[in-house]
Amino acid sequence: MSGPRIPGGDPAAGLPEAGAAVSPAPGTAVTAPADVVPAETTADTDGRLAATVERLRGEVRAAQAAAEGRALIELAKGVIVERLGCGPAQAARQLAELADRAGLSRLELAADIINQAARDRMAEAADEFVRTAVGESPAPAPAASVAVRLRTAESAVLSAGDTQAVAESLLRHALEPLGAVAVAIWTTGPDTSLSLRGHAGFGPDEAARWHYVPPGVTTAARQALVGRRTVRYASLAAAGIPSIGRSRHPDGGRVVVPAGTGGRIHGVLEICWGRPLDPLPQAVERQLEALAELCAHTLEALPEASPGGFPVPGGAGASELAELSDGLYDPALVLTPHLDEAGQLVDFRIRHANAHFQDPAGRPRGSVDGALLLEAYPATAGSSELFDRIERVYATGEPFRARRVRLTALVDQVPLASLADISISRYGTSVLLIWRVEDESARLASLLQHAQRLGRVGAFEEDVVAGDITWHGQLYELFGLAPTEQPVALRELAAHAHPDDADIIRRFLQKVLDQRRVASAAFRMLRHDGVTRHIRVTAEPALGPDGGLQTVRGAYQDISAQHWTEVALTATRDRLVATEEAAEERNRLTLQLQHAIMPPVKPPLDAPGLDVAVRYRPAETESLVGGDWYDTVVLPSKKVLLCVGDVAGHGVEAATGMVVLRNALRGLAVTGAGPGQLLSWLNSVAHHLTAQVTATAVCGIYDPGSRTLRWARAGHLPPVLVRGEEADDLPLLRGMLLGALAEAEYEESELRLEPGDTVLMYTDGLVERRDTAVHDSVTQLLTVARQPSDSLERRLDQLLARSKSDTDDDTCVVGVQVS
Amino acid sequence: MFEREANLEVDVEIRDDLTAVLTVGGELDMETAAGLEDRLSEQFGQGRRRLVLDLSALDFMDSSGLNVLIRAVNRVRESGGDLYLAAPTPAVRRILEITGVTMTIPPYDGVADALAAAVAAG
Repeated sequence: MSGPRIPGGDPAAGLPEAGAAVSPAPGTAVTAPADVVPAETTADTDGRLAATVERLRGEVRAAQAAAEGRALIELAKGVIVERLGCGPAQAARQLAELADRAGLSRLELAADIINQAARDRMAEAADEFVRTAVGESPAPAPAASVAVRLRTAESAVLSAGDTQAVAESLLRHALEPLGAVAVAIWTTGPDTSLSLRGHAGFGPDEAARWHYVPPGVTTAARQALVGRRTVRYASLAAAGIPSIGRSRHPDGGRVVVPAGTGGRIHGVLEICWGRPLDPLPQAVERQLEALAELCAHTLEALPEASPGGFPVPGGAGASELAELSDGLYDPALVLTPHLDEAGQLVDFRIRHANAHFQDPAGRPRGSVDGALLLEAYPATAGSSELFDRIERVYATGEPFRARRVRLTALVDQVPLASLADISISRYGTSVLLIWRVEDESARLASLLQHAQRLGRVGAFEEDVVAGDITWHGQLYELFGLAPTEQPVALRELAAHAHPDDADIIRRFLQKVLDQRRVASAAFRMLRHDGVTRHIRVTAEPALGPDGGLQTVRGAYQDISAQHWTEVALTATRDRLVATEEAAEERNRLTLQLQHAIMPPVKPPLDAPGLDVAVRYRPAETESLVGGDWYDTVVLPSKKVLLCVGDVAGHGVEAATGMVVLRNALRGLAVTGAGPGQLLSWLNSVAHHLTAQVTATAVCGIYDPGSRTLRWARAGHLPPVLVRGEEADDLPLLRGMLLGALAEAEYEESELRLEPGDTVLMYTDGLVERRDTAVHDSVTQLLTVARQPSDSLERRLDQLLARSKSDTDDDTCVVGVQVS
Repeated sequence: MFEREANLEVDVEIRDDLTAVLTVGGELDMETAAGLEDRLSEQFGQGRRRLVLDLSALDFMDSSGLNVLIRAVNRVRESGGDLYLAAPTPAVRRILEITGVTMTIPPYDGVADALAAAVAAG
């Protein structure tokens, strides 16, 4: 054994476990004295390695001086890749973790690993393995291990001035021992053409013939580029693919590896064998991939290979592209890659949203500009695969155009699908994403923006110099103020907030007013009427002509529903360790929520010729308070939305589901759509809720002008019509309960009402009995409904008093009477 | 406040590698639904994609029970199988009709019919 080395051999034996068993800690181990050199090492190898180590040490110093130790870290990663049999990304993580544990910088640790690796003989076993597996007889016995050869190649590559030297060094140090006879290094152009940058073993004539491969010509290298993966040909001729050197080695095998860093493919490493190639052991393939990655680093450093260098914080060319995009008549985003510490592409930064940008979720341009793509549009990572496509375009440079691509945007946590024509292309290190939403989907999107408007958002504008404040939308209502009262200035905001949130507001104001930056904060608003609302405020400063702060624009949004969703999630998580007290607290929350959303008193409703009454009775057992809801609201069209629903289950989850569905329906109804269409949308809302709730509902739109009620039902008991001394339930229209299927259609029916007619909508708390079929319970309900009553209110009281339910469920009844 | 014994019986009869018949008796509600879901998951976990539920002895079902059926049917259909409901009592059949579940899971008169449909579906 060669003494101290980094823990390895078994990739499954992760570092956390190893830390306990291997003592001293791995970081310390690799810095152990270098005198544990195996005695058998030949003087020749020793000398070469010593020189390598010396040069690497020099590189450490140089790299440190440049505060940019990438090359060395890559070397160390290569060692870890080979030792742990893992991929480059995992190696990067291991390196970071080891450095943390050892209290060293990654650079210092990388240097230690390389020093240590250069002095142990462990890789000779790997050498044996490779020799037998590949079936070649490489260098004679005293040769250095594969690992050392690879590292020698690596360091040579790094020190080589140009790609041609890199190719020669790769072939000599790393590839000939594997039996390869030639190597080519291609770079990709912006138009996905391929240029031969370096070659060894093919001869100058062949290289001259293949110096350039235009876009669209399928060669071995292009297969790897387009496929973004390593491609192996047992025999090039048998595969029927043209490539450099085919005439000389027609039956020879090829391995073609895309060479990329940070999610972008800079080139392709093509390795040529003289004879047909058997499948390579996995370890060898990994080594080749590590070499390709190394190549990529040298390629991206070459000015002709890539217009932008690494890393790309500003995104070269992004500003020109932003200007260009402003000239487009379709919405467009300019994206630049966002890399993690290990240099892996994890996301894209939205550098610019163009002038015609329209957020599918209805947000202002400023809230998207500068954000990370996945943060602004989490749904792009989902089934729409948009993120994958962008990633692919960025990697390969091959543009993507498609018509009618399904896009998903989250509107108030609800995924909204739309169809759009998409164009994605790469310019320099930026990606331009252009889309055109189809008319129908645009219509739906604007509908949902209405819904969002009803999601209690109110904009404001405050002239901080003159002190004028303009409030739009529902801000007075949100603040619990009368429209005649003075709007609240930003500096007075803390007086309207919970004392515990004063700090949050102070920091928010500091950022907007002093630092003049866009800021956002969430706080609890304490209204004078005693109601607490959870509010998010976002504000953007605008400077005057003198460069001083002139106005602040922004919006307040009531996020109480979202807040309660978070409460629900926390409650679910806590359930495992819940104490009795916590359970009581949750039940109290649920009940409060019910009351906050639906006061058990009659809502004021200004509908001519229609009398409305409601009764809502929560379950007696607090833990059973569930998701029953009702809504009666006059729409802008003067028609009246009438609805009763029931979310399955009980407790916080059901109640928050109820809040979402009730608000969604209210918003959607403003669009003027019919009840069938509304339920169809509501079904999609329910289906996409994270909690996967199901619910039943009956929804009616009453037109006072024509006294007609259009209605539809989703798995809910149909309404009851009381006319004179008759009471009958309306037909069981086709309509599945909400949330069970991704898409559902709802049958609609129209009913012309006469003066004196009463329509009752109710939840099954009113009728559900264990010992009686629903049919019989409804019959009993109809009997009660037939009894004469002097007012609508009395009728509902009678129904509630005589209700036959025995399941201690929520009960909710809405009655409307035409006067 | 009601105090009742949890009252649900589930018997599993394995027909072949793909098929199982679960006989569900008693009341399927908030307290018992998880029990049925466990048994369904168990069969699904063992690779059974054709699940027949014999509901002839099920007296009562509420929304928790419905949700178990909906989750189960979505799950087996994703893996190319199906869920079959056989012989629901009038009360349960009515619930299935009101909620529209019969539109996506049409009930069969008996276990034999359900099995025949399962085999015919392949």
